[in-house]
Amino acid sequence: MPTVPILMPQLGESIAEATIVRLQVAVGDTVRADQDIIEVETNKAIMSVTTLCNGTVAEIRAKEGVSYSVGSLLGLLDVTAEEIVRTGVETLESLEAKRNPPKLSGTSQDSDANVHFALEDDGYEEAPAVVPSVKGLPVPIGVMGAHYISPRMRARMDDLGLREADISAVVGTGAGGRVTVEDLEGFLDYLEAWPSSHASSMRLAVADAMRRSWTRPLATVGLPLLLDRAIDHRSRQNPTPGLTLYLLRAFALALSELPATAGYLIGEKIVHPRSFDIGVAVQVKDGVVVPVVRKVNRKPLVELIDEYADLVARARQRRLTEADCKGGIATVTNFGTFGLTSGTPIPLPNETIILGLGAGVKRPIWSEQVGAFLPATEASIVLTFDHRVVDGGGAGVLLNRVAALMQNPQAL
Amino acid sequence: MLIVLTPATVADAYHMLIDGVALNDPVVYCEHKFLYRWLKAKSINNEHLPIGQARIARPGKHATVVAYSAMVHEAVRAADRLQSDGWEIEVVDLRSVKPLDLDTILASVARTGRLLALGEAFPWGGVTAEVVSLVSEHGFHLLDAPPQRLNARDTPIPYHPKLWASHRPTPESICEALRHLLAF
Repeated sequence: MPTVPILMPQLGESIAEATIVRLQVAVGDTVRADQDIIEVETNKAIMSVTTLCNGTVAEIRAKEGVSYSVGSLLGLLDVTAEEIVRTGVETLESLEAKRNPPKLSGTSQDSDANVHFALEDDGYEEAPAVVPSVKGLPVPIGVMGAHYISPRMRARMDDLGLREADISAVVGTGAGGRVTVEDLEGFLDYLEAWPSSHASSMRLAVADAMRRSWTRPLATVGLPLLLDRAIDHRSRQNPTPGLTLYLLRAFALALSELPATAGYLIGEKIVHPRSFDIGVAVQVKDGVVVPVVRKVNRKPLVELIDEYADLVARARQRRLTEADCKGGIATVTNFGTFGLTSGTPIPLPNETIILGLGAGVKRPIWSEQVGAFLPATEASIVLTFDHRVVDGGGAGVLLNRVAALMQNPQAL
Repeated sequence: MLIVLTPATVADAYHMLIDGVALNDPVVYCEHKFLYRWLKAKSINNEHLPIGQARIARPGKHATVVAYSAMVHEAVRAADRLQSDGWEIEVVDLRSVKPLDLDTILASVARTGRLLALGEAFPWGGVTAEVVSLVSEHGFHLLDAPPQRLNARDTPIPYHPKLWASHRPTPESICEALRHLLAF
């Protein structure tokens, strides 16, 4: 009866060997296809070697507790000829025929022979099992896998002005799933058939800033904020300051009490704020700009109204200077103006935190004093932070302080 | 300048000898003893490449093998074997080892992105080392995989034919080296 070898399969992308934990069958047992027959342990998990077809266990060479590399012969199955035809598995004979091609004998007329190296009158034989002098390419750990970009790929990406983020849409067919130059070019050809337009420089600037910011581990936490007091205070002001200004002031005051939350990590150094200059996100055509309001903690709200209005107006007219947008230590974004109630804003790449305000919604809020649900305007404030510098606890303390300060708008 | 010629074909053997004699520089002309036995041609074309230019012995697109002298034929045999697996291997016949035709080599690596430098000599500091270091220096941006070399083993050449066959590169070992290169 033909024999089918049981080989150690490739159990994972970087797995080179596994240790036998338990033999689940014995010699003579009848096994089905896809049956677990040998339990093995890799450095990642415990899994099983399964059979490729129905058969009877003829021999088990694997020993419990011993490590075998991928492709090692662990045992042999007796399999009927019909089953081999049905499943198409390799038999021991066919595998050996592949490994040792038939030898030449005598003075062969075969054009494949190294005839020009043969000595006269010598029955030259092809040497079996030739060991090449070049070993398997030593691939460092970081190089294996989908994220490796070869020098040629890097050069092609530079030519096309692409970054790694741009090729995330391309399916890689290279080793380990990496994207090859051919994959990239195929993808770009495919995109030719789609309608497209040129990205504006504003769009590209925002894209670059967000990509750079996103390379950090960001987390978002949020709180419900009662806006009624601020709304009430605001309605009695002339000129009327925007709600964003109230939040800006509360944020600056909270930050001046907790400056560590706005620390910026560079390598092993944390840079502290030297002036509480806070940016405000302004949506413009095809992008976002963030002009910075200076020393927000030092000026009461009334003093900020004109400066803020001027910055927003110039932002919308695209007349902000580079100096207007430089030096901020945190940003406020009021996405509630778009009707959004919740969001996960992304901090600027040179800042650690961003505070977002959602739209106010009338909700029934439980009042402990009165013992009933009372209508109130509730909005969500969220803080997205670089989790390398700030943890949930710190973010929580800051947000609670902002919420508390917002309940006392006359002090802002 | 010293010129070192390593013809791999009958036409090259003829033309390069005549061109070499005509040169004013000293020429080392390497005739491969064992090519005498096997390499035959009914006629020789008068069109021939100048000294210092390499020849594409076999076009391909997946990997480049740069070889000289008898190894060109071994490389072509290995390429034919890999053809059945769907790999198209380009073989460059250096023709003259000095001067080395870097332009042809770089153009070939630009097409394929992978290089195997094949030589029958010892690995240390040989022709293959020169090819690999020049390609790394001038064609780094063309490479998809580290450039590889295949040479004879770093031991004295054995006399017995079987030992010798395991000492020098053969189509099997060339195929295996190429498979490693293609898998990177």
